[in-house]
Amino acid sequence: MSDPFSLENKTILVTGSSSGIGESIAVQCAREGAKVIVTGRNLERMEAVFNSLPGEGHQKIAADLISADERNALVDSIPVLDGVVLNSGVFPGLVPFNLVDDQVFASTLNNNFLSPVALLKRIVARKKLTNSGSVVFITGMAALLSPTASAAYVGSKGAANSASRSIAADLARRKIRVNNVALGYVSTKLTESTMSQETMAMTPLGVARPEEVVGPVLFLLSAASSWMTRSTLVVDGGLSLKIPYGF
Amino acid sequence: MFVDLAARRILVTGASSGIGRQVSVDLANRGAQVVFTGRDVDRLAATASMLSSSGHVSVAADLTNSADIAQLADQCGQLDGVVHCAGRTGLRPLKLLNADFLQDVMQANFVAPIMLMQRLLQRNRMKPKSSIIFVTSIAGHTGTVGVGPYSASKAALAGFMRAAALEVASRKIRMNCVAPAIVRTEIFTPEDAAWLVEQEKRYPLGLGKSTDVSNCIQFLLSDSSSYITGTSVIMDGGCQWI
Repeated sequence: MSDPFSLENKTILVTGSSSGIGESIAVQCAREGAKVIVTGRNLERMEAVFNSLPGEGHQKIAADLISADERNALVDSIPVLDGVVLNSGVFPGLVPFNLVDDQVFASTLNNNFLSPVALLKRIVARKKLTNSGSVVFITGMAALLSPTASAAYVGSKGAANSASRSIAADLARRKIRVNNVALGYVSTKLTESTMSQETMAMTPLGVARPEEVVGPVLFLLSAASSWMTRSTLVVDGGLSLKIPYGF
Repeated sequence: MFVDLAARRILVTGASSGIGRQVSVDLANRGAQVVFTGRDVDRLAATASMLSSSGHVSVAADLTNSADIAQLADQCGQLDGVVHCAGRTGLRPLKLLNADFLQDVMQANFVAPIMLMQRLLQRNRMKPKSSIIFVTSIAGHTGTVGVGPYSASKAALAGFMRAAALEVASRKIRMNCVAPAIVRTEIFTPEDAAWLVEQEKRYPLGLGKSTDVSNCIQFLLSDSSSYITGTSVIMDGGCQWI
């Protein structure tokens, strides 16, 4: 019997894999024996990540997921998947509510919620996800912490988390599983440039490096989690311990 | 492999049956050293016979007895992880409840695992970066007629876990709960068969198996979950509950 944690020969699409957390997910999936499809907007960085993947059979496809045409082209050019990691997203920075541009609300929602959900819908419609496949949304504890000056961001992550659980109910007939990884503060270029030291120091286990939050994604992609769907793994170093809301 | 437990020393309570036995078997198969405990000596011996490789330690103990807890903490050695599976059922509607019953359920499902954990920490048995897991239940998060005592005991455990997780975070010791819905184990009797078939209709992915919960526990014991602490992992096969 094969090890339930094995990702050997699984084909996995990781969106937003040209840097940061997505890059770490792609590299570690490849290390576990998966065939990885990397996709992102930045050609040069995507190429670099692709070239760094151990093993063989990987693919790289440039796509801007907010474009329906590019989403459709991406889905047309991929093989049938065993796993999808919807990781791409934007963080629009900390802006007080009354100063947020309407356009920022729209574009944040588009990047973090509408586009990944539309991509997943297309993948399912085109039968590019195998029955018993696994979908992982990378959302954030921020959706429940709801800190100040973050309405657009936390709204978009909350939307993705709520929608993913309904999608999970719809896809359960086909034994497709849909789960969330709700991250706390992870040290990436994105957060280092926008978060204060105090904010980063709030976490009981300290701020994570991207590679420290990948294990839960691998677990949810593997057959070891085959009884889990509609669930959220909170991967936040204890950040949300003190708040009265939970996923 | 991202879940590597080779040579880790793990204490498993409630190892004489059900999820605790499955966890013990799976950990042994992954090359871990298992210290396994339960009340029933014969059933513990049966678990022992199922463990691959050697170097495992069996300790008979009743965790509602403080002398047994002290003895277990003496004998378990330095630990990389603890999996608290020991527990009991606790079904009683409010109108039929009495204080003795409620206290018995709380003693077994809440007080015992907390006092064992306290003893292990006092005796410095937990290595830095070790992982402590409490098997709770979806019932700790939901309301079900007649399940009050059981729900309360599991919710109490999850509540204490959050405070304790903060208290040990500076040593990078992690603490989490796994909260499964219905898992087919020996806790159910043949009389429950028809009820289980009825319940299974609510579960798109079927009722749980001991291996499903064991897999999640192995992940939470491993370094791959090094950034997860203070959480309850809900596993329910996609049940929508209402």
